[in-house]
Amino acid sequence: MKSIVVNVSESGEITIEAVGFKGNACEKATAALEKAMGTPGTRKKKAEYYQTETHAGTKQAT
Amino acid sequence: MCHVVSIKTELKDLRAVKEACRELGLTFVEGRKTYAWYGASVGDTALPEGITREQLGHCEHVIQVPGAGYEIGLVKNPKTGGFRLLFDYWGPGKKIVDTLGGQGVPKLIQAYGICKATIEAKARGYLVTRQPGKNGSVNLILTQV
Repeated sequence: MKSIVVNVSESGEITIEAVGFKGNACEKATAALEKAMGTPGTRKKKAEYYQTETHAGTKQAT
Repeated sequence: MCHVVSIKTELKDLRAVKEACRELGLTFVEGRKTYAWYGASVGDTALPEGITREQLGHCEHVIQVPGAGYEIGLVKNPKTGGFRLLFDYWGPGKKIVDTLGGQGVPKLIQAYGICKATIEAKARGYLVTRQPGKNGSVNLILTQV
């Protein structure tokens, strides 16, 4: 199941992680949120990034 | 100055600031232009960066911490449009530090981040579930409804 996990550290630092997305669908899903939060655009790519999204309907609302 | 600390993280969204105050039991006083502090610079610590001696005590909005004699001022940064938090942490201001987890008021900063992320996620149609994370962090699980 696709979800986005926003972690807010004890000191207020925010990291946004997309779970269950493949390829750059993950970035599409989180980009709008990152922009709204003002989070710096540093990303750690997880293994899913290098997989290809195989089904349609992966576009997230922006 | 007395001991006014300026918090590095800027708060940009007043909706999230208000919600964070509500969650933490603080009072947000919208539009009050002065905050309570020692009242005079005693020159023993450096002024917060970008703040002049004359600007101390002046702000756009105020946050009150229950039981604290001093208050937190929200000071607008004209460059970014965000708000910086300034307060006197000495004497009657100590309660601010004690209540909000230190001079950097991390509890308020964290609550702001949680509220801001929740507002933005809901605006994009996500269902938001809050869960405790590691090391005192909070996880917001966003799922499409």
